[in-house]
Amino acid sequence: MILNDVVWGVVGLLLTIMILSYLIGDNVFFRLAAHLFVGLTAGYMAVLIIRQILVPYLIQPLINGGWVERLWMIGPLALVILLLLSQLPRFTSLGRIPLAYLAGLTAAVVIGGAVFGTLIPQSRAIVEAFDPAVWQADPGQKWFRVLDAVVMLIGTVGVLSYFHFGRKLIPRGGQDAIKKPYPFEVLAGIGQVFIGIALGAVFAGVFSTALLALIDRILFINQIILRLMGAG
Amino acid sequence: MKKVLVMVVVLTIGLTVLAGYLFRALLAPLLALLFDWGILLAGVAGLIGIGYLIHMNLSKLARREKGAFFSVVVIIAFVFTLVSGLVMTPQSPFFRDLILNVQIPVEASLLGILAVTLVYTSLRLVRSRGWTPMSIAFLASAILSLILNLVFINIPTDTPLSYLMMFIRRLPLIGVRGILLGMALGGLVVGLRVLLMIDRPYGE
Repeated sequence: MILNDVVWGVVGLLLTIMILSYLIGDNVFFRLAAHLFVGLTAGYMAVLIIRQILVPYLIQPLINGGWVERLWMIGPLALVILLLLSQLPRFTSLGRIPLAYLAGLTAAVVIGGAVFGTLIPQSRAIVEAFDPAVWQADPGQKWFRVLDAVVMLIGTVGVLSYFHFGRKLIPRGGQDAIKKPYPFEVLAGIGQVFIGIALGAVFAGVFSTALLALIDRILFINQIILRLMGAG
Repeated sequence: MKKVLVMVVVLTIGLTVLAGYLFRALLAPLLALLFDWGILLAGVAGLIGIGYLIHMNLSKLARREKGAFFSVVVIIAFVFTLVSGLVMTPQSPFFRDLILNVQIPVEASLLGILAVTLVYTSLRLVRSRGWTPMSIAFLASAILSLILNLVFINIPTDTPLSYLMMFIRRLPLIGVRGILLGMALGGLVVGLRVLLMIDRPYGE
């Protein structure tokens, strides 16, 4: 076992124990490890942003680029300067332009992603499940596929009814007026069950992963201690 | 004047990117340029965020507030990592060891703690929210998923039981599909509200 491995092994061991000590309650060791992690991650992110974004997208074209490329960089350079200046209390309003740029870009990406990445493919999958050709593809599974398509449709509509995109109705005739219409209530009840099932399955997946991570850490502690004692 | 300029920026960028979904080949070079500028701005915004974190810790230290010692830890860890990353490359063995040997133990241990926390909260779920259709479905699905994920359950294929198992395994997908569609609808509404300037996340 070379010295480098020993040092990093001990660092890993100490950090693991410090973080796991949270299981007996919030304490100074856990906080120390957590703050160390925050500082290191912030530093790592800053390094990545500088080396992989600022240098190739701004600094290199300005230093090594030709005149045309440098001219093109006036736009982003101005936006960056406005964003940086907006951090000074006197120039706060200057930040609106770069932020408007980011807002417009993000909004368009979100709209495109929602429509072309989720709404169309997911809706198509629900509709295609009712294609008789799909049902006939494997005669042995016909009724299973019909049941699957029907449950999928009812469940999905139910989940959407549970979310119920809309504003509350203004109460006119007492308490009942702010309730959802009856069909929505029934569908939302069904949707609630399917959301519970989905979250339960997600919970089981996360729990299994977390349990594996806990076992891995315990094995790691055991392995490092054995190595330090010369038994591993 | 500034308001008009902001509106022009939002609409021009938003509509150009949306047009890019329909005329991809035609607008590809322009879109690449817009995205490069966006990435640059997001990077600078990220650096500003990190700057705020460090500024907050420095002020805590200057005011000698309770827990100022932890601010020292944050600042030292930040400066050490930043200087190492800038002096060396992120691919250098020391820098890689530094990141991996701190991040992996901390993240894996936090995930390990999550296992215990999840058991505790799931037990509290029924106590706090009672037996609702959602809590019953949640617990039943969680227990069933954990059992079904065990490797030793082996059912012969092409039997009614295997179809039933397949159907049960697909049940969570229905909820996930509904949640995905709901998120997409929500995203679509929020995006449209920003483009139509009903919501102004960049300030009034």
